[in-house]
Amino acid sequence: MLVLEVIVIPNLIKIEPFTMVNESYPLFNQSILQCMSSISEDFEYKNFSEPPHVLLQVATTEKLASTAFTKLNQSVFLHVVSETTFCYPYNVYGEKIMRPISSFRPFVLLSTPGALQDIKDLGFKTFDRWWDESYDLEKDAELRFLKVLKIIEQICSMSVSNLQTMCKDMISVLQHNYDYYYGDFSKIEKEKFDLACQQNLLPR
Amino acid sequence: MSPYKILDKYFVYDKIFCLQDYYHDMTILYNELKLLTRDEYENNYRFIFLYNDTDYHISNDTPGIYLRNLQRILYRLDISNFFSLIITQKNIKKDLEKLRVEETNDYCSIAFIQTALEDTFIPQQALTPGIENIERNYLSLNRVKRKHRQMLLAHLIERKLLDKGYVSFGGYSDTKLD
Repeated sequence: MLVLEVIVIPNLIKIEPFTMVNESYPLFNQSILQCMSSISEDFEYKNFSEPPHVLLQVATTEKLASTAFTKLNQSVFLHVVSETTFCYPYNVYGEKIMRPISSFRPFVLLSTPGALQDIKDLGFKTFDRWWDESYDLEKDAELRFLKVLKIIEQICSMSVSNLQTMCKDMISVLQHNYDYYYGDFSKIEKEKFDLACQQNLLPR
Repeated sequence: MSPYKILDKYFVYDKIFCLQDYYHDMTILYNELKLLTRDEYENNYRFIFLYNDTDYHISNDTPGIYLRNLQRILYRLDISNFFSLIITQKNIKKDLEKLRVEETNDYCSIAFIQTALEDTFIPQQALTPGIENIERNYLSLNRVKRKHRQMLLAHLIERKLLDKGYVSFGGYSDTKLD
């Protein structure tokens, strides 16, 4: 149960236990609830031999850890990017979305509504030619989740050779994202940032 | 080079405060800011805050708790919102205006700059598309066990799709399915 403890000086709100609205959204879909009951809270799983986060911790050089990441990132077709937030007032994106982009791979987002549009607004392209991206418009968390799951199922129904063919088919999009990320993206964002700093100095 | 070096061109500041570092106890932030307060500031002096991590929201249309705490701290220390600046990915204009009205009698809300720039680990770029390297259908990395990731794993197990991809969930013990 959430308790808000008010600390009198300087009147700050403290949250105990620490949690976020992201974690506390209700689920009503019976099939989702039933499915989730099959996993215990302490369940953990991994089915590949390189643990990228462990490598990040023990690697003596950043290059060693990055190489492990690149190999893993390119060994698959679709990246299912599960962002930190799923049911939350804002879209929050970080380095997770940059992994498929830097690896020439397509992605689906398990994130807040509008997150995919945010990525497009930054200048990247997405994959609506190959699957239904209407999940990005879906405000209902359960329906949004099921739509993303449907894409994953669709991809899993295909053979590796068919996926390689699909990857070749979307190479122009993958190449655009890669070139943009390592080219103009940072330059454009810095220019926007620079302009925003100038505007902040104007009288308000 | 840090993306925030641009700030040096325009502003005078003592430190960039990453709000996430104070989530466990914001009185520490209060005490740090208290040491920096003065009677007068240069026109281009700013108290600068990074606000990129997730906040706690009681509902989806209320400002985050830690953002509210920041506004309270600034008001309590008599630091005008004019001299405060938040760097964030989010468009928090409405939240900041709500907080100005609800928590202060300042004439302006805290300013913010919305940017995708971030000081994060940049993955090494692959040199070629390497399409021939594809051996599995999907990748799903889920180190922190959030609810939507738990939902995903449960459904991948139920539909017997785990072996179609590379999947991680939680720590890295060699847990096998029964």
